[in-house]
Amino acid sequence: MSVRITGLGVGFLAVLALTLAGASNTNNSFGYLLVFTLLGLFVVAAFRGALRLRPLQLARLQAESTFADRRLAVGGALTPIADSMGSLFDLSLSASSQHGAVPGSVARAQAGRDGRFELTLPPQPCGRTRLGDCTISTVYPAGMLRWSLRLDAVLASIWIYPAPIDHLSMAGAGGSRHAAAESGDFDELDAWRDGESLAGVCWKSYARTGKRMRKRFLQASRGTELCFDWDALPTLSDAQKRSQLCFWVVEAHARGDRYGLRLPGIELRPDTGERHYRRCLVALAGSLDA
Amino acid sequence: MITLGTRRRFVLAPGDKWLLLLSVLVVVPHLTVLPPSFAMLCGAIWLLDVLLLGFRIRLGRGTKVGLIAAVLAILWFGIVQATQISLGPALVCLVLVLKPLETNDRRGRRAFLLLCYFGALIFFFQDRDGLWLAYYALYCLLVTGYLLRVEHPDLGPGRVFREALGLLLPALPLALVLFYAFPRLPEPLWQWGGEDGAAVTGVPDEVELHTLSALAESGEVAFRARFNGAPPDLASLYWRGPIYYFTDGRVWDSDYYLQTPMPPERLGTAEHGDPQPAGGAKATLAAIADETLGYRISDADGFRHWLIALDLPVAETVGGALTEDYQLVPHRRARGKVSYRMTSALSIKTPPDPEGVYLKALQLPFKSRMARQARGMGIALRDEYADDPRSAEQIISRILRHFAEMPFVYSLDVPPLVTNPVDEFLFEHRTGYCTHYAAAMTLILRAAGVPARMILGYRGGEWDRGRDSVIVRQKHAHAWVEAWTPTYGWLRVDPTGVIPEERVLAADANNGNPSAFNERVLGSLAGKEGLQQFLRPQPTATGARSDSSGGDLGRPAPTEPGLSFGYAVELAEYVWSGWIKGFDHQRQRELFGASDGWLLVYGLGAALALTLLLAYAIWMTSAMRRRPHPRRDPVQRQYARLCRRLAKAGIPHLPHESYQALHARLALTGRFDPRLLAELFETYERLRYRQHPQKAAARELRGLRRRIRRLRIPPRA
Repeated sequence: MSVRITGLGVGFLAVLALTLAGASNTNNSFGYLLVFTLLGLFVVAAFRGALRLRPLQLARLQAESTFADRRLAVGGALTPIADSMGSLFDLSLSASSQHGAVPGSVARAQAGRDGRFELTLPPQPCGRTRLGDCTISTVYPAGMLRWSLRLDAVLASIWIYPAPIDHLSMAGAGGSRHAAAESGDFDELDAWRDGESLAGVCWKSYARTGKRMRKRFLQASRGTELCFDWDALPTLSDAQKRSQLCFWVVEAHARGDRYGLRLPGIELRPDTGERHYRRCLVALAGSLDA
Repeated sequence: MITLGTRRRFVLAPGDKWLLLLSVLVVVPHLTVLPPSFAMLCGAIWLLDVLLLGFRIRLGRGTKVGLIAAVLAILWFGIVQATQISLGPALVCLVLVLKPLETNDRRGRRAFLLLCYFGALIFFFQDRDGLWLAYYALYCLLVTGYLLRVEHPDLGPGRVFREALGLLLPALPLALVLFYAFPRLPEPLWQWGGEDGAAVTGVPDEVELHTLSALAESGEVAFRARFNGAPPDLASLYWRGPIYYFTDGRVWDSDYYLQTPMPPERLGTAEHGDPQPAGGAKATLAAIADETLGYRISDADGFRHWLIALDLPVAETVGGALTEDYQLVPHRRARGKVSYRMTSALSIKTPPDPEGVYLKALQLPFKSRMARQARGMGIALRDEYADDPRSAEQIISRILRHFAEMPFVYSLDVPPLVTNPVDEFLFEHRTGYCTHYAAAMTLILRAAGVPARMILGYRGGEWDRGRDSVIVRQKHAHAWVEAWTPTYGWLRVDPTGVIPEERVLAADANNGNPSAFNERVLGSLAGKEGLQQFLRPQPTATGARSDSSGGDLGRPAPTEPGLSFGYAVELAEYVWSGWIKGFDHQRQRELFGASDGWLLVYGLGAALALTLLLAYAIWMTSAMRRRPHPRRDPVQRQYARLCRRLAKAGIPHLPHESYQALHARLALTGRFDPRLLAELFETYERLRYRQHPQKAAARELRGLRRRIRRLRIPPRA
């Protein structure tokens, strides 16, 4: 726990010092009493700020893996919060990748009255990202001192997947594309989720309902196997390859295709489902480091 | 440039209301001591504040500068030039009045609140009444509440003021400790401009004969005195103030600018190598005196060229030195009230003085027409007693008899003495009070060749029986004469004492009983021993102590202080003035038992401050160490206890080992009862991994604790 005096605190002490000098010079007891009472107020405020901050802990930290081009949303709560005074506390949280801290990856927010907070970190580089270096601070009660409580531990560790970017057209790049996708015939609509390719969105439905729905090609995808190969993209850089492969994986997963992934040293056999999808994304996020 | 907001309807935002309220509350007390024209200026600016804030009119930078310049011009040319105004507080007030106009964000509000604190605190740079302290304490509570509101807008108004109270109330004990422990300065470090003592009440440095009449009705406390040991008779207390030598027949001037220090040999402070005094007297004053009396003066005005001391002072004090004519003068004038310890002798024959002192005490008005008749009277007396070896004493007796026998009247209602005050008093009106009698007698004595000087000070006081202290008020102001006689040295002569009671026409009917005193004086005038009445001390006729003396410029006025409500009020006043309002360097030294020097006080204050800081640091360190972690599960605590017991028996629990593995390992050793072991681990498992109603869990936990306690761990084979 550390403390730092604020501008208001400096001003307050300066006022007290000035008036204390005057009271000393005139030996004015009332001046002394008032100055010392306010000085006592400063000390009591310091104690109260420390006492209010000391028992605080971070709880229910929530952060979901996301893509490298998306901002990282983190939620959580400070406990214990008494008397709905959660808004007294400011919180800052930083993210660091496995290669070190990312400059500017610090988010600050004020907690709500119940202590809950939501932070949004800037887009992170793909790979394993650790959330930590959390500092809770407060200027409670009088705004003259800022007490800070630092929690050094890694609070959460999440994957940041490569940004799904279609650098190439799918047709000529190592994967076979389902013909049904071009014909526009699909079997059913499913809710479109954040992170999925916009290519799978049924725009007609969107125009009618205002909700993004994903086209599912159940019949057509049956029996189709795709294999996304790292080595089949010789014209792209490594980062572009990861983005492209990620794009295909997201697309294929959205369509319900059976797809596999071949990366240097890693081969994931064609499969479907959420678990396979996550494995592919994690493999892509960690492919360079593997 | 003035920018109009979109809404023109008059609405004062809550924040602006607070700003205006705080501005008014902090400035109004200042206005009570500033000229009315300044109050009007502030009122006009407040009106402007209300209008501009209410109609959301924002002033541009140029307009603000112009407004400030206009206000300063009005202040300087309209108020400062015309009145005696304290510029510092006036400027602070103006800032506080103008500031709401440009306070529209949190930063501005913070600055305004700091100014509010400052405005409240500087009010006490002058001597103020205690009620203002209560007022500003409440005001600081209000400002602190609003400060919390500014810092934490989410908190409700009731909440912030509860929080403010929660900050200020615990601050009071610390404030009290600091109030008494913080080192007080023995004297001010700097003087404020424009302070010349004119505002100080009491005995002035320069007097005319009628000067003291204004003090006759003043009940203001001049000072307090507390005696070490047995207190003396109040009637014998003459509190010595300034000494007046030079006169033009109308005005008497104290020669504070021509003072010569008392030779150190007389004070016993001479160091080796100091020249011996001209008179050859080697004994100190304290040694010459029959008996010395120690006492402490408090609440005395420190902004004088002299300090009050009981007649006749024989030692110096920390803050003051003694002059060769026994006047106590401060080393440095102190603003506010001062306290000091002194030693005086009520009975002493003063040793001879240097020649210059007598010469000063023989000065007569330069203009020969001034006090011409008084001079003639003095010359006649000189001629009459020219051959008498004790002529000085005889002349003094004759003058006193003259006052007693001739129709002299003691009255505060004195007809105007216009051209030749002393002669008009002596030979026309014959009505006056102490200064008239003392001045007239001094001039007659000087004309008769007897060195004499007029002393102003106080006589008597009000005895505070329960506390061994005397309260001397301004109405006890008195004047008397000191005359030099070869036999007795400097002799205190109080001519007002010889006026018979029937000729005392003082306004205050409660004058006491001066007749006994006068009879003593008059009855002994014929004999040489009669002069003993004027020597220090004045013997007491009855031997009983009078509780009060003085009043109405020297007339004895004993009064019995009541023991009920009046006494309680007096006691409260004493505590208030001695331990709160009048608490000062001297009192602090007494409190901390400092024997000498102020370094000890400063050392104690610094030590206390350091201790407080250390305690704070230790507390904070321990607070940081006591970072709370989730309370350990009681079941796990019992399991850890079991592991500790096992470790002592040489079966340490392995880090990777589950409780089942541990159970299996213990069973394999064959050193434990398998049934007990199984029960213990089953209980642990149930507690750890099954949901229990609270009561059942407590029972199970007790069972686990019991089983662990009973588990016998046999020694290693």
